[in-house]
Amino acid sequence: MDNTETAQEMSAHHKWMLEALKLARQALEKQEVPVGCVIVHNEKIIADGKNEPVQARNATRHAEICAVDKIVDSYKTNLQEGLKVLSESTLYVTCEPCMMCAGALRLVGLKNVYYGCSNDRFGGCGSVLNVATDVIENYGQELKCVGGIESEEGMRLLKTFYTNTNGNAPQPIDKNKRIKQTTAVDSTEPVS
Amino acid sequence: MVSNAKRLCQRSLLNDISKWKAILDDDLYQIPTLISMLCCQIIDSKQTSLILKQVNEYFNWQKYKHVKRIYCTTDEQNQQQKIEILLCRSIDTLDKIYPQEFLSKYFHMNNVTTVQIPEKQPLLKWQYEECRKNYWPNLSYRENKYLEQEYSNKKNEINSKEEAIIDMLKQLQTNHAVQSQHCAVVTNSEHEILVATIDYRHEHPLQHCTMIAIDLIAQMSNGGCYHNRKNFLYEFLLSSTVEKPTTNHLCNSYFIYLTHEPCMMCAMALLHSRIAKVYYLETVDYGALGTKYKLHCLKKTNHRFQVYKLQIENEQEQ
Repeated sequence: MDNTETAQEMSAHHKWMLEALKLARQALEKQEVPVGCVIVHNEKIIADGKNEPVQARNATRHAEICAVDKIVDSYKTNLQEGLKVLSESTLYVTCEPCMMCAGALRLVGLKNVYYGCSNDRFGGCGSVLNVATDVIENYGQELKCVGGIESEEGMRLLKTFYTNTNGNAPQPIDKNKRIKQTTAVDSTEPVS
Repeated sequence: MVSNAKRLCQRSLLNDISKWKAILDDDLYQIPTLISMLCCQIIDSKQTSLILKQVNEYFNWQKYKHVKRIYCTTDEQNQQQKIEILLCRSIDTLDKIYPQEFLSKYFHMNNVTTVQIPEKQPLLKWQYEECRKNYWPNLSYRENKYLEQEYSNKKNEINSKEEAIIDMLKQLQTNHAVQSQHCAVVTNSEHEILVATIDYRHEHPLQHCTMIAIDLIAQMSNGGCYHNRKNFLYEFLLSSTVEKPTTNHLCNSYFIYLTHEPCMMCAMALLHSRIAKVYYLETVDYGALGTKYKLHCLKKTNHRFQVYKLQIENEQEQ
């Protein structure tokens, strides 16, 4: 973290992160993976997003993508202006952006990112790959990421979700059952 | 399903095409990571089994089960058996692991050598042979037929259904693409086309053809959010057939055919969507499935899939 950053600025980051956490809780209520985010421009929230892959039946509907979509849609007639606003904005997200979202943020030039807990499985800001700061030619701007803002609460929400088993996940194939089925066929019992 | 008249006479283009080339983990193209071990000769070869038992107690070999600890050769001059044994890693201190009297009793301690062994079991036959020849001759190995096949690229011919799909991609590019030439076709595992789409990155920086394709699949099960985007498949159909409802979970078991290698966002979107196979025609310098990264080979993620690139017959192997 930048040493010049004052305590006052840090408390501002916490304030915005609390807003993002509210959205994560809303996602949890809808039985989505609880991640939320807000995009802040000139001290104002200009877009928010919460994870909605279950509702959209589309696994790419992460909070960050939803929020960016809202802004691009509102600048439909003037994309350049929208991208300028995004480049001046800051993203607050409760969990480290995944590799997809890190790529997406590079593409739209939303380079200031503050996140909560890290994401060991998909994280794109260093946990798995460093999509955020690697030099990738012809692939947008590198991001400035700061993690660990209100990370305990972000993690707690995720844990709550995963302990109450994910009802939306497909039924795993029970391999034990499969063996039993083949043995049943082998036996003399008639197969319907 | 696709009208013959609409399938351009682009077969000539395909005459040059030989195969899909599997994009595999870098681990398959290099010698496995090596670690050095201290190696010693046993004085009395008759006592080998006893010694081995004790040595295993002092330095557990569980982690290196793919390497046989003992190597036996016969000296041609005096017809004597020479037995070498791996004692411990070079970074360990020999005296700390084994009692001094044990070492001097059973081994020729004036001749301790270092030997390199592969840290993990070699994945492919060539790696096994190479390690045996250059490092330690006594390794255990089990052939992985699937990996060997993918590595040698023998079974990845382009079938006629795929030729039609490539035709369709080329037509999307010439007849429908607006600015960006990137196009995508999603099929089920029987190569039946479900979605064909073009790229809208000039209107929305995130609406790459892959993201649109994934969303159009979501729309088939009453989800999705880019409702203004069109499934170009219906441009190719003879009659407007009724959309089949799908009960598929995301893109599970589906294949995607792309004109260009996907970027990190799209590649990860495909991973999140549980795609089974990705095929692409051209690489891009920021590509995440072979060029800049090999996302599908990462061990931390929860889903792995196969990736193939079109290889032209006269194109040299890299």
